[in-house]
Amino acid sequence: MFDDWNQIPIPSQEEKDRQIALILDQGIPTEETLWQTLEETLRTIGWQGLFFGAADCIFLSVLVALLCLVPVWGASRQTGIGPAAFLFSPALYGALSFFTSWKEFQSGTLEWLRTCRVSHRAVTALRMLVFGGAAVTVSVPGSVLLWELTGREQSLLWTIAISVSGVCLYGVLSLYCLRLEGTAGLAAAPAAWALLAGLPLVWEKAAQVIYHIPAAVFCLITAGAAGLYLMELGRYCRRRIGGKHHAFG
Amino acid sequence: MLSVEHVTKRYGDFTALEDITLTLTPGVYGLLGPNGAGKTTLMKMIATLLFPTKGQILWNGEDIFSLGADYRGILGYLPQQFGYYPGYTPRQFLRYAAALQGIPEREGEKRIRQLLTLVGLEDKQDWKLKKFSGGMIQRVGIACAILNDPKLLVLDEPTAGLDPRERVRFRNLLHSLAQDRIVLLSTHIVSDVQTIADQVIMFRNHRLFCCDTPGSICARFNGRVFQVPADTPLTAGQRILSEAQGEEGAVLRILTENPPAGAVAVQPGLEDAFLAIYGEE
Repeated sequence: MFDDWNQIPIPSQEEKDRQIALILDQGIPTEETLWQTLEETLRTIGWQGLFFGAADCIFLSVLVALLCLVPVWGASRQTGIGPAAFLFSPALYGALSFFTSWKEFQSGTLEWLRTCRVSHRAVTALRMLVFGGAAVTVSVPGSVLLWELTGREQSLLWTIAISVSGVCLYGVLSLYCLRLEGTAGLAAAPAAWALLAGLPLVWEKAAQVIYHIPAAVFCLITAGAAGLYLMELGRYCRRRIGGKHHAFG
Repeated sequence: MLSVEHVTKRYGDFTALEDITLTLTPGVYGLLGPNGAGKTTLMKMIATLLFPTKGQILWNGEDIFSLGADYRGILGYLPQQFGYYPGYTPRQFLRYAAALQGIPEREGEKRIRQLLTLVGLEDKQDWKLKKFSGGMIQRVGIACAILNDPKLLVLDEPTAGLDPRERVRFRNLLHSLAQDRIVLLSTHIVSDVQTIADQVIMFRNHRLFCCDTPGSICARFNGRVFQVPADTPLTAGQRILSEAQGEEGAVLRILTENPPAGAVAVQPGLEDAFLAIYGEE
């Protein structure tokens, strides 16, 4: 019979704490951060999987963005560069998000995409983030071009700042609108943006207010909106809708 | 094991399903019911596309919505309208589906080759999907649904659009698949359910009416189904189930406790049972 109980090596308090912490780490699942989710998604499906079936949507969106330069040019001659740049800068992002989601909806792929192992929401969020990055990148040379075409009436920094803030604010708005179900969520953002951001084009006083906002404020708005966008993107990935609503994969 | 526990689904004031309780173990389950009976609603809830208003659905004792990706990883789902991108080949499309199922590339390629052979599309793997017939698209959908070797396969009207030869091939495929997994399928084609399903699930008035073997369901109508010439005058209590062309002209299959003179008792089939159960709805 074993009677040397006192011979059993008792771990030190430090060792006990370390082991308890290890057990807790492994036993209690920690919530993935947005970056972890997106990184894992990209690693699993790759860039090809991320943009599968989206080539025509990208082509169409670039076309829409280029066509938007015409009304931007026209509007900037009436009210100056500010309101037009603000309204149309999210055109590329809006078109990319809208067309890719619309295609999934229309083609009927959405239903089985939501039942796949890789979360459809994570794929959509990652795609939106890439589209957002592309839209911001494109909006800088776009603003420079517009600034040149309109005879450098405002400072370049101000033109870029108002344009990029427009993209970021639209991004936040579109994510909030995705809380609505189905096609309403898709159509709500462009409609709401056209109403809100289009106001300075038709109401001169609102346009004057825009011109009185310094570039630094637009930079702050951009930073705030970008932060909000990432927060909302994280919520979008994790959101669970209970009760009577559709469940998303 | 999949357990559906007291599940109710409401859309506003409309109740699509009321207090459904089912336990599914490996085998083929056929969902049978008229349009609007709640078949697709149940399938969508099991596929995590819809949340139950009340009740819960458990996979091996755990809530399927809490399991998330782990549950979706063992789920294969073919929706009623299988969506696809017409500009791609089945091989490309299945590669995409494999990526979304988290299947490693090399393993995915092997599995895609096997599945394209299994669904008889190996010689058309490089055709664009836009050139495919409805039946061929359905076969791509079936391949897509079983790509991840699912433990639970949910098929919403999988035989729609398939020709008789394809249906037989599909039935054989399902039989081989159902050895160690749960297959839940809905269809309007009663003969498909009769030949494929181990158990038939029927809803009536949005509640579970029965979950039984096809033989047991048919047996409920033993001695009550008769065949009579089409011109036989019928009285109250003699309900026509169907009309068919017999060897000696048109005949009626009727459901009655009191058969008319000359009526021949016949073995009730699942179609007779279906018509008897839903005939008055």
